[in-house]
Amino acid sequence: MKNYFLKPFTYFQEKQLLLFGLSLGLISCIIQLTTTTRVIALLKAIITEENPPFVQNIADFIITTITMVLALFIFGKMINAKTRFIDILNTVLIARIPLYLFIIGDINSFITKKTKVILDSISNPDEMANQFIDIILLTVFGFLVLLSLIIFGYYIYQGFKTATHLKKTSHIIIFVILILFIDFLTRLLTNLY
Amino acid sequence: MKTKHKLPTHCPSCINKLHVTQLACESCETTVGGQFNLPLLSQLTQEEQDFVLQFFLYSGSLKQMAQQMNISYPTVRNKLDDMIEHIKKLQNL
Repeated sequence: MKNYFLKPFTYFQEKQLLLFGLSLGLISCIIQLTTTTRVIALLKAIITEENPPFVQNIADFIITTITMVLALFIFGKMINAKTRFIDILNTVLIARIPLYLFIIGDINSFITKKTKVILDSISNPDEMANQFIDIILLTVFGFLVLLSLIIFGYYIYQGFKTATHLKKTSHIIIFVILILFIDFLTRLLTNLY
Repeated sequence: MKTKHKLPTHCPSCINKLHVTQLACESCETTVGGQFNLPLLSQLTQEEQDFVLQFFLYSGSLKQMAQQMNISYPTVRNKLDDMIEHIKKLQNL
């Protein structure tokens, strides 16, 4: 059982991973309707004024996923000619699941509202003291988000390693730089609409 | 009936490769002595030998192997690539 969580790309078949990854992605887009959060890149979510429309959520999901998949697929092909598109797609879909935590935390704009209250009372020490529980809550949530980023890193590395048979340290370094660069590029792309 | 042990390929003392120095006929107990190299496939680990056998039995279909072994296709393909690398190394020795 432990292996299924630690090495899903080793023990699950491609169709199972694809179905699971796409289903959770779609669910995240639906949940996003109840938030004031927009996921503009794999590693970046922004707070919006209103609940984002479903079409925008889906567009964000498709653009962020496909951009990362294409970049990793081209790099994967350069490392190993036998790299398959489906394995890279599954890697990105599964790896981004922990990042949905941010969306779940903002259901009914929960985190956004708490953040606004704390930011508004930041100049008033008495009011800040009343927000003690909220500050603790946001701190814990912050740690959980950090943890989800680490889990994302673990899964995307495991998936890419399985898909491309990655071994060389130089390739690992390029892989990390590529993810950060593509993530930055996606932020620009999703800001165009 | 005598128990048949697995053929050791490496020396348990110094880990160097072992050679066959004697072959015996079970029927007439004739023995042949000399210095014989182990066949390439015998030099593979037990896990690798099992993999080769499975690969053969599934007519070389990695997809079928992956489904039967309950592991993903790229994992099977990576194992095969590692084995090819290992066999190439053994050939060059």
